[in-house]
Amino acid sequence: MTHPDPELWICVKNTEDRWSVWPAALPVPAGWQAQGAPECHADCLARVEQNWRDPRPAALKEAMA
Amino acid sequence: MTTDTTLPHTHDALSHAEAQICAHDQVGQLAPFVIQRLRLAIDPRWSVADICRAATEMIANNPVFATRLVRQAGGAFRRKEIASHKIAVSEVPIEEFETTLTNARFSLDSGPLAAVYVGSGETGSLLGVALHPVLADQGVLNQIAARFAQALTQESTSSEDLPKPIPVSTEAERKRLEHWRKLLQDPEILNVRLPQRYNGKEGTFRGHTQLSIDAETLSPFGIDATTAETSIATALGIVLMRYSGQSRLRFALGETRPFSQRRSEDLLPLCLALTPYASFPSALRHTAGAISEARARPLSSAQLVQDMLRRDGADRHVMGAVTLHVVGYQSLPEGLRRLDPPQPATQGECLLIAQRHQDGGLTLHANYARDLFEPALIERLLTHLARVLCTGLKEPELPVARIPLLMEDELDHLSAPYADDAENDPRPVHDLIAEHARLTPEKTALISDSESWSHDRLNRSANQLAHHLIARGVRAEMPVAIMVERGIDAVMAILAALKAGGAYIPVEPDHPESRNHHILTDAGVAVVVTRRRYLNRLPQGIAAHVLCLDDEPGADQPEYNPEVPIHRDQIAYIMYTSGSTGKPKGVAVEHGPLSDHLQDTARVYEMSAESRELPFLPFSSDGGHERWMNPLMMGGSAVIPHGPLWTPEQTLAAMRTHGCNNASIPTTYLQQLAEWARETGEAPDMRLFSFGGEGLAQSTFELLSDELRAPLLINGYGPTETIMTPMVWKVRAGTKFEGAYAPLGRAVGHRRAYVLDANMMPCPIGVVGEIHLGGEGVARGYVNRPGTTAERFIPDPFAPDLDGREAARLYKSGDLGRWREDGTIEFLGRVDLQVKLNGYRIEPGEIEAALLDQTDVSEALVLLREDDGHKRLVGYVVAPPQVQEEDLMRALEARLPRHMIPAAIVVLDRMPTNANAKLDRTALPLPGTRQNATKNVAPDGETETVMFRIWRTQIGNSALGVTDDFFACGGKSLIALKVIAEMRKHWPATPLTIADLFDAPTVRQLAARIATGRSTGRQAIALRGTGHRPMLYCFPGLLVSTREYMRLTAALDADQPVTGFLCHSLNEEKRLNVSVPEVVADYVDHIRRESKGHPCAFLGWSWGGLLAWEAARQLHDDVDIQMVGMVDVCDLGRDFAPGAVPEFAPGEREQLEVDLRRWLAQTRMRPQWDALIDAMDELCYAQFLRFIGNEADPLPVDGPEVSSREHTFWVLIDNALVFRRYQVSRLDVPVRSYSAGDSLSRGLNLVDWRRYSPRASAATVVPGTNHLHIIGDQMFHAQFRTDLDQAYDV
Repeated sequence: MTHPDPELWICVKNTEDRWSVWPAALPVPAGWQAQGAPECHADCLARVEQNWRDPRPAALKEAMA
Repeated sequence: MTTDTTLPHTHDALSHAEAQICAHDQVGQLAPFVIQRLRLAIDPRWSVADICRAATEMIANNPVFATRLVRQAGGAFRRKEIASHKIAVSEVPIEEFETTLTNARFSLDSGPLAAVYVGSGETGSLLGVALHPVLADQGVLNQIAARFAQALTQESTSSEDLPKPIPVSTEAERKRLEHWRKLLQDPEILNVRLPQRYNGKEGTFRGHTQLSIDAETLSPFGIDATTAETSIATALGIVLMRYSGQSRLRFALGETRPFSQRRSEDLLPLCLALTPYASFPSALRHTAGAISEARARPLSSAQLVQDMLRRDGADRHVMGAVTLHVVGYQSLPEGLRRLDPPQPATQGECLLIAQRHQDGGLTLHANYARDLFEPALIERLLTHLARVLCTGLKEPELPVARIPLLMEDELDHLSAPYADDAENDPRPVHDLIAEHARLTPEKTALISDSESWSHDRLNRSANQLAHHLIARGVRAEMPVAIMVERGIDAVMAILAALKAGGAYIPVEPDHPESRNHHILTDAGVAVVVTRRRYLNRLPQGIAAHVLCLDDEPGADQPEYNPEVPIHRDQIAYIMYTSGSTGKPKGVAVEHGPLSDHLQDTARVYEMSAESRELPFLPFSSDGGHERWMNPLMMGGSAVIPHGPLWTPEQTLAAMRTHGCNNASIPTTYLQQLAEWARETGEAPDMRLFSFGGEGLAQSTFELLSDELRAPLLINGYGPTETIMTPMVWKVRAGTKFEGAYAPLGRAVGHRRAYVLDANMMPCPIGVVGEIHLGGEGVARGYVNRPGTTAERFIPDPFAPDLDGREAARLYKSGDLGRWREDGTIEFLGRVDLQVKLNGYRIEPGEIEAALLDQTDVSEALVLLREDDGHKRLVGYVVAPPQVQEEDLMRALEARLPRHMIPAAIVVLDRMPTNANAKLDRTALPLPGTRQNATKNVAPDGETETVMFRIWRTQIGNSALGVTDDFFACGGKSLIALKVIAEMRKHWPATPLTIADLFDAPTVRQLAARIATGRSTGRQAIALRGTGHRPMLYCFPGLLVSTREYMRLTAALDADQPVTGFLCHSLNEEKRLNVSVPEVVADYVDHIRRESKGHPCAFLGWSWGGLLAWEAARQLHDDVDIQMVGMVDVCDLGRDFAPGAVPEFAPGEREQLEVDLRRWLAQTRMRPQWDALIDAMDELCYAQFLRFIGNEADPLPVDGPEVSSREHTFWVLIDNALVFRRYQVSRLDVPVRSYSAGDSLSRGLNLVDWRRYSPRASAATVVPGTNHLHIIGDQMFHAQFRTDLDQAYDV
């Protein structure tokens, strides 16, 4: 029997455009969407670093636009 | 008593376990074994006559009912079947059945060891069988039940079983012992323990609880006989892994042969290596393998335990702190029903018994040390065991680490914030504050130094500066640095930045320049508000507008509130954390959560327009801002401290002068403040003290609760990332709490606080995990650090199910904590400071708190050192030089579990610091050398030189000097004996004793005694010279240095004086034929001189017990003996018992005599041995030959020095001769006795003092220790202390 690999993580983004990382073995919590394939923890963080350039939540971006 | 001196046949010999049970019975303490009772309900189809006939047949067919024990000379028992001694069936009225069965007692020496009762009534009958545990266990009861059923129904049942062979020592057995020893000593395999009460000690009280699971709940078909043990052991392994966070662990698994004629119950350690993400079926396979592997190497647990307990500091529960028995009953013919619960020996801190029922259901029984565990914890343990078992069987795909232990309603309850239904005002905080300028314009808002501003003045000034900032281009998301010292201007400037829509960053002008430069450049500051005098502290070429308040930048601006719309998600401030490593990180907090947090907090703190707060926290922490914003937004006021850090005197004076009713104080400052209040007796009249920033130790909390006398106290906790104080513990003064640190309490506002394990599963109450905070009140994240933000702020998987919203986030605090029974969270230290040693997870903070509780210790630090690949826990304390490391160690031993005791403690003048005034861990000295005591003074003169060489060789401490204390420098008991022996050889004219070493513990002082030729000659040492209670006299065991009693002394009441007598075999030249009265003569004189007509107490350990008894006999008319404590006092064993005739194989005796002569020709102790042998009579000489014949090792020739093997051997034989001639007389004195579990397990012939005194009680058994180590054992200390209190009636 194969076990889920506890070393794998995924990048996730929520409806407010906030990013985070989450263990790939666990179900993604409601309101969050997986972004890309499972990777090791450090690689996921590097991906967040690259992709999350505007720290403002979605609603604020809209209000300031 | 029957005494039989002939050697019986082997099959009559008792097994280890049987001998151990006899030893327990003999000291009057059968526990942990219990009388085995069979109860059978029989339906009315059978008459009483049928039943009695069947019972009689059952008795006739079972040899167990004819078995008696026969005592040999020297105390050991043998089994004997005496056919004519079969017992009879007793008929009892049904209403007396239970009492009769329960009260059945047996005597090993005389009567039968079994009883059979039949009770009858209208609805049926009952058969009861009671058996002494030396004869029976579950397997024997099963066998008896089967025989009875067969006799009653004439149906044959399968129950045949051969008697279990008694293990004999073989090569294979030695290999097995080696195998188990290795496993039990493997530090990677945790002897797993349940979460204990704070400062809980294992006593003798046991608690019980049970839980039944019906077959259907378990799985569609319940649990069957073949898989029950594996399934339950697997489930227990998983629960214990979840509790301990350790996947390699062990517990004890019981095994009893299902049907047997003789006791077979025993334990084996079950070592598991579980995989958190494996499924339950896969864990099952692993456990099944581990069980069969363990059972392939059977070994009597007594052998293993005895072997392990030889080491000082061995685990009290060698086989396992948690014990599991899985028991099932055979099926009986219809009309018969077993009513008795399983009754295995209660071994371990927690014994679990899973009883499988015929229908596939299960009852879980727990029997636990009540002083160690909360009853609720054990009840939950059973619930969790049942949950894991049921879920594991029903949802085989679920990883075992993800089986929920907590149900949703439990999580809801535990994580819930303070109840609060109020709706929050949607406006940002600066608008809430400005509102009061309209409502109560003249009311005081701020006081600092000699200045006092009204709400109106504050608002107008802030508005003017805000208009100026807007004109400078400040708008949403733009950082404005406020680099102004704490005071009214700083508050005004902060409000201005908020009103302008900017995000303020507080910068303390006097903080290190490198830190401030980083803050001013990291976030892209647009404007800096400062003063002219701080301009030179700004970084060169900073790309920001710089405004100096001295220039009154807002002077020509309008005074009305600027109309700047503020979005909920817009940043209000950026606070830089003071991180101990790396550069400070800016935490961005948005307006919506900030305003909500402040309104929620104001309600928890019961703030109003009357509130006047003294916020003592600095502006570089977010808590410092909460505590001025809160009173201002409620229309109250704040007194802002100015200038350098106030003394406690200034602070308390300011509270009084300005009529403050609230104060918020950093935890580190509280102690000084409370101490000052105590000294002056002048605490100001306050309503509320709040504090936070660090763990608050219990002693500090009690001090402030008593001395500062505010009715309301709030312990605030919170990382900057979760906005100010997301958790508070709000209590009335005088509240007591359990734990090293004050509880962190519950979450505030729309937040929830969780304790989660490494797999994001909520931890049950009492289980350590990482504190996570979720809900609305978390920060946006770290400025310019999206990766770090993503790592620390993670998706909240709980919120959607717990009235939260989707897409919420959780902050990983990095702090360890656990839920307490009352649902609040307790702080336990930092995740990154947690250490693991020998499989135990240790929170250094808890040890530090215990050290800080000691008098004169002002700082404490505990860390795991690794020097030369050797890991150990070392404590560093800052304390004055008179504080002895040994005393601190003993104090810790008296309060902490064994695995938390540091290997060494080092006393320092101060903690080493680096250039940044931070602790320099690398500069902490290696333990072993006493830093502020070892003065390394060189010897002067010949005596000092020789003595110094002896000491240094024996102690092995190269830093030793002639003015250093022997004991403080590592001089242990055995070393003391060797050093004394050496010194006596060098200076025979001045025969030094241990007493001299106690009185004059340095080379210089002792050398002076030799110069004057004066040794003390005293036989007594004051172990504690002060105290008002009656004196406790400690009588020495053979060849002990008296220092062994120091640990006991430390554990007794501080008011208890203790005297230790010196062992005669160390003081006297070898003198033959001394008698016990001669040995105690000097002790008796001493006691008579000191305590005549007064109360006192005696303690005798080992051989010292006889000395204490003889002293009591001589003194009981002169002194009032309130208690005699007898610690593991053994009678003469069968080796030298009068009347015990030894047996020799043909020719063996002659050979032994040859060996003896050959040995005597070699030894330097020849004269002493000759004298000893001359003193023996014929029988004794034969016993001596037998004794040396039994020695496994060659006879020693290393004498005659004290502590040589040969000297010890000689003293032992000499002592046996002295003992042989001593008659223990009857005496009417109160006696409490204590037996080491190991001595009982070896079947040693311990004295039952009830035979000699009508006021003696049955022994207290101290498990997990042996004859040598019991005197230093914590559990013994606690029991002795209690008994002494009781004897003195205090």
